[in-house]
Amino acid sequence: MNLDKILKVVERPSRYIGNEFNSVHKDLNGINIRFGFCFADVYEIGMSHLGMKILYHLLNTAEDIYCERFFTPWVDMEEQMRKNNIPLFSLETKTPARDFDFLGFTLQYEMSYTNILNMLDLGGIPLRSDERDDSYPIICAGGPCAYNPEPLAPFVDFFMLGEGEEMMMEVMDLYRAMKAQGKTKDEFLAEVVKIEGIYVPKFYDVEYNEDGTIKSFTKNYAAAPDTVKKRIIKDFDKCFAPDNIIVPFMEVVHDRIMLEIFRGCIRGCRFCQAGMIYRPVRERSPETLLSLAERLIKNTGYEEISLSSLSTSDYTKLKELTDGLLELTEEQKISLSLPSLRLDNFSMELMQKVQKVRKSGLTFAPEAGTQRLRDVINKNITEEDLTNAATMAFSGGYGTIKLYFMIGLPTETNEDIAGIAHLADEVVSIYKHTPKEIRNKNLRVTVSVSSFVPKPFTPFQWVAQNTKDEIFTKQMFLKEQINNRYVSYNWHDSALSILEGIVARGDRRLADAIEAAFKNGARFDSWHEHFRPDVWYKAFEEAGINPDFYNTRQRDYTEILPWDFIDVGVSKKFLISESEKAHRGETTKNCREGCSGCGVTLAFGGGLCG
Amino acid sequence: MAKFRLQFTKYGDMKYVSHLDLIRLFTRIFHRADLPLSYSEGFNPHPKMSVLLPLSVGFESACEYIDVEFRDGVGMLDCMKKLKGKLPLGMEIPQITQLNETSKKAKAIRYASYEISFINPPSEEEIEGFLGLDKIEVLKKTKRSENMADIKPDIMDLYVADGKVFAVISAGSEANLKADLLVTAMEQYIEGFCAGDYSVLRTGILDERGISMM
Repeated sequence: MNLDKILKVVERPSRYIGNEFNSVHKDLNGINIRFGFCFADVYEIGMSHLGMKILYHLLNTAEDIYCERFFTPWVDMEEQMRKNNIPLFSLETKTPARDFDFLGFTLQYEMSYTNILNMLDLGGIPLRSDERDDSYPIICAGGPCAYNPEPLAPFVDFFMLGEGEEMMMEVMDLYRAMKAQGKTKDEFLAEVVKIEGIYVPKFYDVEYNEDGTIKSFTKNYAAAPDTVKKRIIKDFDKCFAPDNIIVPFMEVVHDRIMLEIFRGCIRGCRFCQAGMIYRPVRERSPETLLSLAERLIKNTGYEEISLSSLSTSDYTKLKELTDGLLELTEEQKISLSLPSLRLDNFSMELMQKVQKVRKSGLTFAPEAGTQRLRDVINKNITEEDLTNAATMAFSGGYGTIKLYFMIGLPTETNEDIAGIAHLADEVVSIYKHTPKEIRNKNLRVTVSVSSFVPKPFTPFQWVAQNTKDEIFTKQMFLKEQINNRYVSYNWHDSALSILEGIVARGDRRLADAIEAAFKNGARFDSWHEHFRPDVWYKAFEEAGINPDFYNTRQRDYTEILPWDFIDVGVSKKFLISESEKAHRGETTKNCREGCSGCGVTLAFGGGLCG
Repeated sequence: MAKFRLQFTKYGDMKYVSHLDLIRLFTRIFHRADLPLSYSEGFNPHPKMSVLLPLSVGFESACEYIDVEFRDGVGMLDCMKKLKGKLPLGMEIPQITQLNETSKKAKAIRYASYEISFINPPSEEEIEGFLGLDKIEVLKKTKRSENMADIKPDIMDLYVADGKVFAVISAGSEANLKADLLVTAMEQYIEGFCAGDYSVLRTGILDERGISMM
């Protein structure tokens, strides 16, 4: 394979070379299982993803398994590869995808699905499971979007639901044994489905009602489970965490050490899928984290450490951890960043810690403009929380504040949208009341507004998404409301949010449209410059699908949802009660204030909700 | 405070690591090696480091230089020892020297030497004919402009041996000729010569007397 020739003509060739410090190189002679870990976006996005780092290094701890990486080649590289008949190849050994035992895709966002099909196609691998004989790799997938696997069901041989650290190795052990016995792929699938957390789509049949809703979802293989229960790591403190992560040559999006301090979230914001599917909360101890951080710093040479979780300031021993980390980082000029800080427990002390080495902007997420709507979504922060945090930030010398909001939330009115502009004005006025001697010379308030997309396994999984026109009207209404020269406003492409909404709550039938969109040229849909809604709408037409059915339709609580066969621990009963409370504008206390009975302790055994 | 000049190589895939990425790469190499970098003062401190002469992406090199300043207590041998095992594949550090006031500065660079491998290299006669031209005019593109320039004065030496082309050409701040532009010129003026897929290896960076920067 003459890669040199094409690497000289493509942009950023270091995307494709591998060989980064800490990348794994093995003697192929001792290898039983070759696993291709696939991330369906470009290198710099994929290499920012913590889950990939964990599973890559975990798989490679097994002597006879070699896990290599695959990313989506950027459009210029794809063109060169197709022109020169170069198949999709792994970064480590440049081996064609076809020669692997497994290709495992991590599903991080719906808008990467056409890239998955493109990667299979570039690998010379038929897209659909039933078109692949035993000479092809087994295609598996996991990650947050696997909680509604149905739109990808015809393409993927099996899905892994939940945290992969234990499940992945169980699957490998089974495969190793069955490969030695010369078993077929079908025989393997018939066995792997018995491992908890594994979903094999072909073992289930779906029937539909005349109105298009699901009539029945039944298994056609006795050994397949009726409901597939997600996996969690019970003792997260003892869970595998790599201390020798790959250090990319090129600058990737999150180019730093990510220290995963806990999984799950105590909050229960009703729009947030992560807050539901990653329950229960499990923390790592400061001792474990400090030791891990020290090894990571030594082994990578990174100049920045970031704490990773759904809500940093909810970590119970944050003071102890940050004190310890600062001791490690200050002398070596390593900067510490604390993302995902909540407005209601943000403190002066915390703020000073972040700015010790380098002072950048602060980001907060009030999510909605009025207290009423914040109660609907159970965000549980007040305007006072925001003003307190802003006062602290400006007194501490910060000049840049970024505020995240959503529009299109259930029950939203114009008053709620105008409230966003009001909050931004409020922040500006706090700056003006901060004494000149202590405040930053430059003020910049950014209001960043995304459009709400209802997701499976949230209390809003039944609601209708706003239409493209509704979103656009709201975006323009807000634009008129913001009349402050210190406030800049940016919003998202509504067409993209709509499409995300369609795919997120799609069923098996949607696979035809995804395939048609790919065949009509859809690629890198999450990249503004490549997103072509017209290609998608043509694909819906070709596949005979009415996209409105999936996103602008209010569902009934009794409807069988495509993902109902999955058990995430949080019960449907709880989601319904949360949905009802939302519409009454009632909040629910967080897990530390008291248990709301979401069902996760029942599902995974008591004593877990740390 | 101690300043050092490190000679390093960029073999194999390292040729695709850009100049910009190189500084970040070295910062992390020195962190891993536990060598304490000196930082600039100010709001956004930067490590005190500079690569002497940038290399085009896609070229290999046996001889690149980077100057770096460490905080107290770092000796040359210490530096060598600590860097062992901390480098990516394709990068080696064959030589380190401590810098003082009399050390050559980057602006002393005049020439660079290259080894260029072609599938079908030009013959000795063709090279002689090429060098015998009065003028070798090629289109020189910069960020701002495009104009025809005579590159003959920038070619100090050019010959074929063992099926490879060896060249010593201008480099540095006063005059600079990129190896690929030389190849373009050869294609343009040597009749029937087609460069095809070729590879470039930088073999040296030299001062006005043709002496290395070490």
